[in-house]
Amino acid sequence: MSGTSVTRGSVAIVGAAESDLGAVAALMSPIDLMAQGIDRALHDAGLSLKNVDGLFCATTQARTSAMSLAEYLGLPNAYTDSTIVGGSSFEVHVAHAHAALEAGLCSVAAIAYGSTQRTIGRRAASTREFNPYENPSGRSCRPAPMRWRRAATCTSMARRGSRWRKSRWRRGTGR
Amino acid sequence: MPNAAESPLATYIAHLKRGELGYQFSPSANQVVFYPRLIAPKTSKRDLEWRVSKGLGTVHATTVVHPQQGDSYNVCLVDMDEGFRLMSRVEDIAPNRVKIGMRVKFRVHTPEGDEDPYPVFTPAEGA
Repeated sequence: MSGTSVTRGSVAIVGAAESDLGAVAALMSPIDLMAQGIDRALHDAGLSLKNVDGLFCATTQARTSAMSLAEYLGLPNAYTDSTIVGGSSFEVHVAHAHAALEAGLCSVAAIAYGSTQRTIGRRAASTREFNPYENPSGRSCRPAPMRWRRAATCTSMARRGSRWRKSRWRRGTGR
Repeated sequence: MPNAAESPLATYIAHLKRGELGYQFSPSANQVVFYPRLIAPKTSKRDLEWRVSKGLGTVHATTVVHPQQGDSYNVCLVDMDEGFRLMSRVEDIAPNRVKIGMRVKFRVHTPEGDEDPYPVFTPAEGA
């Protein structure tokens, strides 16, 4: 098989941290939590936001999370990637960050996740994507209309919480 | 590390319910921050303190939205005197009469029902 591939060991994780976890303060947003985690991971790595030029993130609650996160952090020129493929999105981000770092598209990549599903509930956090060919119940393949619940808006009060993880990559010298 | 006691949005809404337009300021970076955040953009400063705006600003950009149904309305960006910009609308004036450079004053709009309050503006002559 021809083609290029990244060099094993050419990059390294240099910091990792968690945001607030569990029942977080009311009206926290997933982007708040991502930013909080990135800030703590930067402290862990001995780096600062000034070093960050790559943002990789995903959350079901924000389709354009990398754009929102870049705005939040004040990094409008960052290389961004908000690939969503479900729970494995962040492993994909690691692979994408590896490739971006090797390609010189960024030098310090931050990978982030944030969710307030514990607060707003799964239905509000994740809209369903129906595959009409895989509908086991035999009901109409058209998705049922979403009831627009208050819980899906920013006015919902937190009774439960949220979680997120974050890790950071940096271009290394390889071994 | 214990969880943060209050989210930026919750504090912002609490200010609005008191009739105030809150914003943040980092003394160590001399940096004004809006929209409210847990850390400051660019500098990532954590020493964000809350301040209340005097409520006066200048229209930076303005447009009129013409929905299929309902009245046309104004959408604008306002540069507050304290040094931050936010999106809102100017009321008490025809939407297309809002002009760049117009001085405006903040007031709280509280929607019916349980929606959160938000800032709106009115023309402020000679302010």
